[in-house]
Amino acid sequence: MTRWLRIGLGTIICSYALLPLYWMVLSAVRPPDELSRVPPSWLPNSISFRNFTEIWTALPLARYLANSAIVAAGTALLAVTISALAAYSIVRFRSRWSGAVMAFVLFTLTVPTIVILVPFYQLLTTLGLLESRTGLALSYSVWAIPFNTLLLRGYFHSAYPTEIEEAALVDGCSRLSVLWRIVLPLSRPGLLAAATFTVLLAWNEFLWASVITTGDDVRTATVGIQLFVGQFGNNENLGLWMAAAVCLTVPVVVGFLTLQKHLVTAYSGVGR
Amino acid sequence: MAEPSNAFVLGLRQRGEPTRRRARGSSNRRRRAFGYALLAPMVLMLLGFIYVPLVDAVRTSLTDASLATPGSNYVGLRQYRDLLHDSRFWQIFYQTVIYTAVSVVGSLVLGVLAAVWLRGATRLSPFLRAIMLVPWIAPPLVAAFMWSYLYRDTGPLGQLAHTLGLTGQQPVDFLSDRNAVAGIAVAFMAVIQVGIWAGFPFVFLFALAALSAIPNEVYEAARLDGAGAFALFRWITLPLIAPVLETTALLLTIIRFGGADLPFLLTGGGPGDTTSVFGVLIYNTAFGSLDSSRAAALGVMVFVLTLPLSIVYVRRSMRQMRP
Repeated sequence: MTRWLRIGLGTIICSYALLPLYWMVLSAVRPPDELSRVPPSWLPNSISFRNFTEIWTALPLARYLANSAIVAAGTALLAVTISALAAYSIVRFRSRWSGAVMAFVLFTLTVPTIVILVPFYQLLTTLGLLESRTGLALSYSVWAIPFNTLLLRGYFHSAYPTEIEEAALVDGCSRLSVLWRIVLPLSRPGLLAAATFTVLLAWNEFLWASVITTGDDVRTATVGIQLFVGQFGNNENLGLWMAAAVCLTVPVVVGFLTLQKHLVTAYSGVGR
Repeated sequence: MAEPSNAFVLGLRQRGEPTRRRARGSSNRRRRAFGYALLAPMVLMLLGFIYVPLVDAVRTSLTDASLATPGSNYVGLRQYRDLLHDSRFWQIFYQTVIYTAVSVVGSLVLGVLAAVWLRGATRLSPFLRAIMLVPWIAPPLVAAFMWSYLYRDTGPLGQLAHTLGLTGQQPVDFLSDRNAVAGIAVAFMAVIQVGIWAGFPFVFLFALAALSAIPNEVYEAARLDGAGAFALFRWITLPLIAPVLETTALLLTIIRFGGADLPFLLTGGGPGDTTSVFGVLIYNTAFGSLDSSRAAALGVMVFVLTLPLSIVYVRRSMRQMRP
């Protein structure tokens, strides 16, 4: 009895979690006539990949996806480097400021980005970074740094014994080369977890990108796809939207799920 | 931390054989300087790109600045006074509170339920855990897309509701339904539901980590004493994961209160203002009406309203952290 209750409960939660993405994939591979049927059937009857061949000419999706990838990679590089240095400093070089720095990072994590929407926009205007992938990557880095710092702090705490670093110092390594040759290589899983979080943030973000990137050549995929939907706000292109949504979603979901074992451990170490 | 031995080691390396005391003093200074140098980029970046704009937001909110015209005049607290006398502001304030409270509580219940369910699970659990995290990983744009498709009058949920006889004569699109049930518009409920869906993996992740830190012996002992499943949850699980749940709930509350993406993408605040929240209002005020000073004043209000939660969050988190 309890066993069946467990299975039933699990099925319900999992179906709920997957429902929108299930419907996305289902609609993307449906032939047009079946897509417009009312009421829609919950299971596929026949499968067609036409949407996936047509989507690339219907909108410059490849360029949008490339823009997203560039922004995400740039963000990850900048945010993870800065956070890793800071987290390492917090863990290994404790001073009377350590507590204050932690409070500063934690507090910054809680400042809603919407609060500084306008001044941040004006700041980017002043810096000449509107309409640029650099401006976008810079913004996302700022948002990602507090969480990344906390994540990497938790990681550096328990990743490996500090004696390794001390031994290297005794052997004549400088502090910088200890950082470069020992700390960073040994912390690769933690850095990977931070990078994944950052890529996820940058890849998925929509609102800010829609303000910053309005030109076709710098536009990211979320903005480009949303614009496409806005342009064709009726059912005719439903299948194409769904195909575009699949192209946007699959890279992050597949990437995250492949790495999830490392990631989940690192994320749950945040704030401990 | 092996701080003294570390400094001592470095002292030996750099100084050969001078007196131990001098070596330690000088290397300690270098060590500290190195530590601060590593910290500096992070601190400067956050100061420059979060706190300078924050001060700037306060300054802008005291003017009549607009993105449409250059230049501005100091108007004191007029923006705030206008807002407080605006019934639309209060309606959206009320809706933001409802949206935040209901979606956070919903995410908490569902997230804890999922974590408790998965705790005792089988070798399938990494796979099942991955499924639970999907709503958190999916782009909000896609989530909003898909839910509005599901909610449509011709979509699967719209049709399902019609078949079940919940919608009267015609199937309805949930997201444009202004009819209220229990004082909340159906469209708004539909938006809140997406908030629950998008937030529960966040709770699930941290709850699961807290759960797996509880040793099995605790449960076995309680079971021997005759405790049932509910008693185990109420008297062991819940008290032990409460501190983690508290910080997670605080963080999620702040995220939802200042969040804009889901409501913006689902409905843009409509129909009318029935599903609008502060995030959407600020966004529309700044980039729709180009009224940057009003948007700044709203932003400052959101900051002030979330400030107590932030302070509690920082204090609780500091206490939970390893020294």
